[in-house]
Amino acid sequence: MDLKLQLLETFPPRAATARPTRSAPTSACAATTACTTARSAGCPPASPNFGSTTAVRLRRASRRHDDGAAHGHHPDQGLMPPAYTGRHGLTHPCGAPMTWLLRAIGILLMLTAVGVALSRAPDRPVESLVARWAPPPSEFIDLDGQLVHLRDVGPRSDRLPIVLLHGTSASLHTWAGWEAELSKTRRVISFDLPGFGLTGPRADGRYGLDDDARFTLAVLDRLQLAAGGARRQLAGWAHRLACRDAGAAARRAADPGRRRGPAGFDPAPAPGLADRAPAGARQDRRMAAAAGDGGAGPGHVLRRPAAHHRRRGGPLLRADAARRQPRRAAPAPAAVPRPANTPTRWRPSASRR
Amino acid sequence: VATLRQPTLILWGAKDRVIAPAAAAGFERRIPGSRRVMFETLGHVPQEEDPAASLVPVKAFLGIDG
Repeated sequence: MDLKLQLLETFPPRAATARPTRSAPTSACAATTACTTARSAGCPPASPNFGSTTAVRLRRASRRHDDGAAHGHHPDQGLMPPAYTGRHGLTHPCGAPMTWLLRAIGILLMLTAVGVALSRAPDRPVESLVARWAPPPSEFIDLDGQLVHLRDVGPRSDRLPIVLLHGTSASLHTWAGWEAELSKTRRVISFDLPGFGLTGPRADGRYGLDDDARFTLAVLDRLQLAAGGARRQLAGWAHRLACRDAGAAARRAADPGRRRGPAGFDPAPAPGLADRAPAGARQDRRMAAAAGDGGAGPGHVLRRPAAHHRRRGGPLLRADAARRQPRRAAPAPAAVPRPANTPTRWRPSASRR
Repeated sequence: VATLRQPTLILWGAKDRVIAPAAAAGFERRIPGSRRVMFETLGHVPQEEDPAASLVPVKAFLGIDG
């Protein structure tokens, strides 16, 4: 056997230690060259497969050296083509940038993980929010299984309470400043709409305009503000949600002639915005029309009676019609009853009133 | 909106970057008899940004003294 080959077999190239990724191609080339040299020199091969088996053995040896020492890969991977090693390692034959790229990606990943861990805000039970966000005068009522966070402040002798409706992504807390000032002389009522603030989710999962309008009326009914001759004013804030509630609820609850009228914003889609707005805006127009039919008063003219009757058959106006059934006699607003039992879903930590 | 007949006060922050202040004029135009008040220095949530200033026209609207 050629001396060069023996040396190669006995001492795998030292270069493998210094430059792991280049060692495999180098050793393979050395073996191929050696075989070619041996054959061309006229030496008879030791076996018909002399060249190839030695080359494989050499590759295995060098791969074993590389993988075991430098990368920890399984030795079986030594059967992979030598060129594969270069792409698999941290350094590409084209140089260092690969390393820095990988390091940069790794650092970014680590920073991302740290950032996510630091900024993560897991869901908290509602109970843990009460002390911070629902101190007195906040109270909770159970409205047919729906827990409602509300504030009802100011003199109960006020015959014309002011109702403040918050908007999308808000809560009754948006009215804190107004509430503090107005409640000096007026009864002021605010509450969290379903899905906002500390009022829980709706059991039926419905969050449409008519659902919120009904909810608003139900809360006011519970406070006995909608009954009999009680009048109210609604102030809704500048999101479509609240304003639609204010407008629709006020009209639907209205007993024409007995109501002084709601005070409020109506920030439903503005002209020009409406056409671009999706279903919500169309719903808004439909609701405005429907509510107008129901509550705009004797002066309202129906321009489309057919459409009117179709709407009247719908759930909204069925509820509306039911609401206009003879109401119970209304006691004075000061005699507002509170639910005897505490909310069924959870018990606020602080006592209410 | 155009079906509203209630006395209506429209409050809008002139620096509202969520809904263009120009929309306030549209409401005023479409709601018969409505009144519009623009807060030049306030944005999208006047009642939080300056409760005292934003409440002034409301109290006048509701006929509340002081």
